[in-house]
Amino acid sequence: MISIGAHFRGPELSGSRIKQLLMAAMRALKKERGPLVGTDDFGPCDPRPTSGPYVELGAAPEVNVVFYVPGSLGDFDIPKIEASRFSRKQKKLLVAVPVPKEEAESGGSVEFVIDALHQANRIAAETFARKRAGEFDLARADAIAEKIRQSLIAQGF
Amino acid sequence: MPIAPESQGTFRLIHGNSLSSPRTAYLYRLEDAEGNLLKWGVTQDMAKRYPQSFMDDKLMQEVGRGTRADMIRLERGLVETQPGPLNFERWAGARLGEQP
Repeated sequence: MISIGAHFRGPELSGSRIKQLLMAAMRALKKERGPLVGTDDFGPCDPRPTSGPYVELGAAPEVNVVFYVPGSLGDFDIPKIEASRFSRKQKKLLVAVPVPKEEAESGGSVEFVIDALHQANRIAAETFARKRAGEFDLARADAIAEKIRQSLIAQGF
Repeated sequence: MPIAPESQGTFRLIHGNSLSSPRTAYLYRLEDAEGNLLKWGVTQDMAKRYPQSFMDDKLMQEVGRGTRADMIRLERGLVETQPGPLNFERWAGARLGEQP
């Protein structure tokens, strides 16, 4: 299972193209995967739907891919995409994706986002296997990433 | 933990959550994938290499930085006037619709 988060370091990024791109990726993911039921570090996610598929947080190994976008309030000290926080209890791995300043300023690209998701999926599969914390469904996660690619291209990104 | 000089040559420790903490604090807006406001918050996590909060389908938009006291004051005004659904403070919405 896969989820996306993003962190923007500056108010000027509020209406930026990179933010629109990542939000579109999150919406496409949600449409393909279904809503998330449970809580993360900030509180509850989606309400349990009365019909249709949904994902129960903590039920299966999950990769939480977080894009870190630099801005006027600073940068992040992340040299490359990497495994970050891991929770065995929540069956969750955070994979940090640093967005280069040039990529952020140019608005980002579908290729960058999808490539990052595939890399994060591979890191998650390796990490869960190494820690014997359950089997991450790599094929499903990669298939979802490709669906997101199709959706973003169809939306003109 | 930062220390503050006292007048008689001793020092006292200042907790990071104290309003008098000299560390830089950041005001943020948490949003969902549609850009809807979920909550206003203040963090000092940026002092670390990078924050490592799980964010499932959520976006964190930093909107300002300054002293913890200033950021808490700004946050309080925003939570009172424009609270998000994840602002569970007892003063959330106390001045709904007014200027922060």
